[in-house]
Amino acid sequence: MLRLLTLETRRLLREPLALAVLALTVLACLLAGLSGRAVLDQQLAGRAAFAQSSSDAADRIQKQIAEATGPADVAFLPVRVSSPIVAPAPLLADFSAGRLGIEPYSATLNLRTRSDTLFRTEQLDNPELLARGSIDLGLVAVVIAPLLLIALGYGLFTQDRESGAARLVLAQSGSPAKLLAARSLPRLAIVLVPLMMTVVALLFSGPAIAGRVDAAMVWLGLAVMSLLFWWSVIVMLNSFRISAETAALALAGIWTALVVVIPTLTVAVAQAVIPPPSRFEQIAVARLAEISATQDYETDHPELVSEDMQGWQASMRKSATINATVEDRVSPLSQAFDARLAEQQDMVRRLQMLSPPMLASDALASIAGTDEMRFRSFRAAAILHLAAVKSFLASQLERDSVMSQADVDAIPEFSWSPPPPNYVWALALLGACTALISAISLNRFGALRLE
Amino acid sequence: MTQASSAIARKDLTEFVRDRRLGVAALVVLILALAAVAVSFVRIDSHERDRTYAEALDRETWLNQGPRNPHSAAHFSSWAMRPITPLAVLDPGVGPYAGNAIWMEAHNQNPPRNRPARDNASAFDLGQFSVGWVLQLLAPLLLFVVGAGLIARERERGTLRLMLVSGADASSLVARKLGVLGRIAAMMILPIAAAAVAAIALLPGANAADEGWRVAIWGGSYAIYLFVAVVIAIAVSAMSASTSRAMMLLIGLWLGATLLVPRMAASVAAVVAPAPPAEVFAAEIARDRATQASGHDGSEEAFVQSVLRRYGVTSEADLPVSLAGLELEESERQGNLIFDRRFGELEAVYTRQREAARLAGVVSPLVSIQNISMALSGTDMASQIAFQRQAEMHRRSVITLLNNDMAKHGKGQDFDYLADPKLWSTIPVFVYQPLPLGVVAQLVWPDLLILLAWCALAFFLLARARRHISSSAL
Repeated sequence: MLRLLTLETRRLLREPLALAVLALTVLACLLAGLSGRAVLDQQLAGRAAFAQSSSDAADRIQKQIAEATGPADVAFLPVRVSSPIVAPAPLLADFSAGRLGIEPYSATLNLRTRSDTLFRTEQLDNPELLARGSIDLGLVAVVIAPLLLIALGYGLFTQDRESGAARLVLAQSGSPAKLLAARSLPRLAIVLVPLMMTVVALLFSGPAIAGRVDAAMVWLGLAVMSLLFWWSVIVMLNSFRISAETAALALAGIWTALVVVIPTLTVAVAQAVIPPPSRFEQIAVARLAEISATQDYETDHPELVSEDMQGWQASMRKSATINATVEDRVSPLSQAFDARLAEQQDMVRRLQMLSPPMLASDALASIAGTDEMRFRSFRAAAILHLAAVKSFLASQLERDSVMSQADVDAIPEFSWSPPPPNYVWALALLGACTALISAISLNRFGALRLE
Repeated sequence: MTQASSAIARKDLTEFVRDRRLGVAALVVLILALAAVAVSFVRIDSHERDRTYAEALDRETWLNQGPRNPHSAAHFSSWAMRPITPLAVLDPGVGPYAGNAIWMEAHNQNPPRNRPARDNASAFDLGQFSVGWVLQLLAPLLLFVVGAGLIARERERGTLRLMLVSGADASSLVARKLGVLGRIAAMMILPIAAAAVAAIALLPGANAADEGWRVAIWGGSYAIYLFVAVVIAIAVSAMSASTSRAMMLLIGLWLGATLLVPRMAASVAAVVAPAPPAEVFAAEIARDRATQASGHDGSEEAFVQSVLRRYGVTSEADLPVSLAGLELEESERQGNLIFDRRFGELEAVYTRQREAARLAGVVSPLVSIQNISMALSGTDMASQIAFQRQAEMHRRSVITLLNNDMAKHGKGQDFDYLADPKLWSTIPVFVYQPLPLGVVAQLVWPDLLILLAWCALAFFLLARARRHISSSAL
């Protein structure tokens, strides 16, 4: 077996196509690694800047309280203090960028913040580059590597059939299983080794975040399983009595359908069938609510005109009450929006069964901590925290005394645990498909010996 | 000689029709493209309905806000909502990834919000389903798959040499093969183009004169792009020993040109000219603003003195205007300097990224056709920046109108002054003006040049293919 393996490896390495595939894989992995590092660095730099500005803001409040000479100096603290929230950096932002380019991960919450306008800091990644897409290891594993495997494997056995050497090759190798193993291992290695080396390089050069190594191992396991799925498909196509040209055409067709067409259609169909409510309407309704609430409040509270402590507090209460009223009116729209998105998500999850690569890609993003579910969970936790912060600050407004440093320190702190990665189903499905297709292929190849 | 070549062309077309695999693939691409037209039509129509309704509702809210302090109204202000022009049926461009609504409030230049891509349910994104996507990605793949065997298969069967010895010369053979593949491409693309034009005409806001030119240039550019694909397919087929080899090489080229190079270009551009993280950008603006007067506290003594001098009075009480209104306007002026600098720097980063990415057009024509397609559809980054700039100009003019009203009528009352509700109707509505075709042409001419260079390369490849066929027959 070892001799056969050595022979096949030598033969493969003499083929220009195999060398071209190796060069392409190395190039793709290198670029994915560099691009991944840039993404990770940007994520860390953004969080560092946010931590610094939050700390500066807290220092300014502390100084204001310490240097206050009377209640007037700190009267407006309930509307000026804030609670900064930030999602921890994803474990593997450098592996699968997922939705990092478009999702906000920090916000500053105060008495005037509303859940529908919670994230005012929009990511500034160039939309043009986002539209073109970027290279990350996830893309290499799910999109590029399968096509490279197809290039290496479309003629795995079909070419022997075409040349009439199939029986001879089978006889020389001893058994079809040995022949397949000897031909498969070096071909898989050409694609898998650069991928694994890039994973190791990113782990060694990246930050030491708790859980990162474990996540990387799971990520790699799923990526390998995804490639084994493709290899099983390639081997099965080779078990049919078809020409190398037909095998190439069929594999390219399967790849195009599973990787390009079905995922793009899945998202388009989900959006067409379950369109989300209008974001524009949400804005307009919130503004209408704001004006109505302001007018109602001013009619009911003539004391607002006074320029003393009582007047200031009344003004702040007005702000809080209007905010709460608008929140109440916009909340059904926001909930409808979230419900629609959840429905869309469910539909996409069901349709994903038609495309194992899409399933694998989303699972890889989930392991990396860059998927939609994680950001949704963060938004939900932020909205809950906002309610707690506003409730605390509103209670401060009801008191007769001004806020002290102890009160500021007592503002609820944000804590959020990212949801566990959602990959088991993808791994199980890919594993089951791979096992089933491999069993069929081996059975078909086994029958060849009897011909 | 011509008869032999015509017979070859007829044979190829018959083979294509009889080969169910290719027929089904072509049909699938055609159906996908037509579905893309329908999906884009519904998306744009729905977006425009939502936008018009929301804008009307918001205008009503603005007009009916009653007596109010102009600065309070300036904080409330209004939103700029970006329309989608009918041409976006062809190519959604950066639309899904860029915010389509900007809050034009006092004191702040806000970045656009509401990115439609945020509402996508999956992180797996190989592009937005559209006519442009089908023509950019799937059409070349289909042409490559169909074209791979056109000459290589003749060589495999030994019929290539037979054809040449029976009178068909290499030039006419290549021309006929080119014609066959060209006809297949046309059969697929003409219905798509017709459906897209019909969809554009049916959408509200269509402007026949301007859009006619844009569609014509758009179609011509795609014709060049697909011609390049056709020629590459024929050339590779002519130079390959077998159909399967030709197919693998062509699929490899397709992978490189459509999935690798544009993404590499985007990744390299992001590394060469990195955009600042949003948090860093916000912190820098906050730091700049911290050194500047807000307009609320009256702390700018130098400004107060200059106002007193301008009005020839010695005390604030003698001023014929509201000092608070003037201070607010001064604060806006200073803030705008900061915004101009910071947002200017950000736009410069985007421009450098665009230039870096554009270079990849030399390696893959897809990058150039993407730029041309987005620009002509009015969905490129230049159009997005035009929207943002127009919204910012509108914000500034509206805030100035409101501050001036407070300065003029708010003497002695300042922030307690309530403006006459008639003021709200004098505030103009934001109307986005798409970039004119002349400006678009200036932006995309380098991409057009690159595409034409690809066309020249295609002719060179054709000549090489002819020579290769002639020499292989000897």
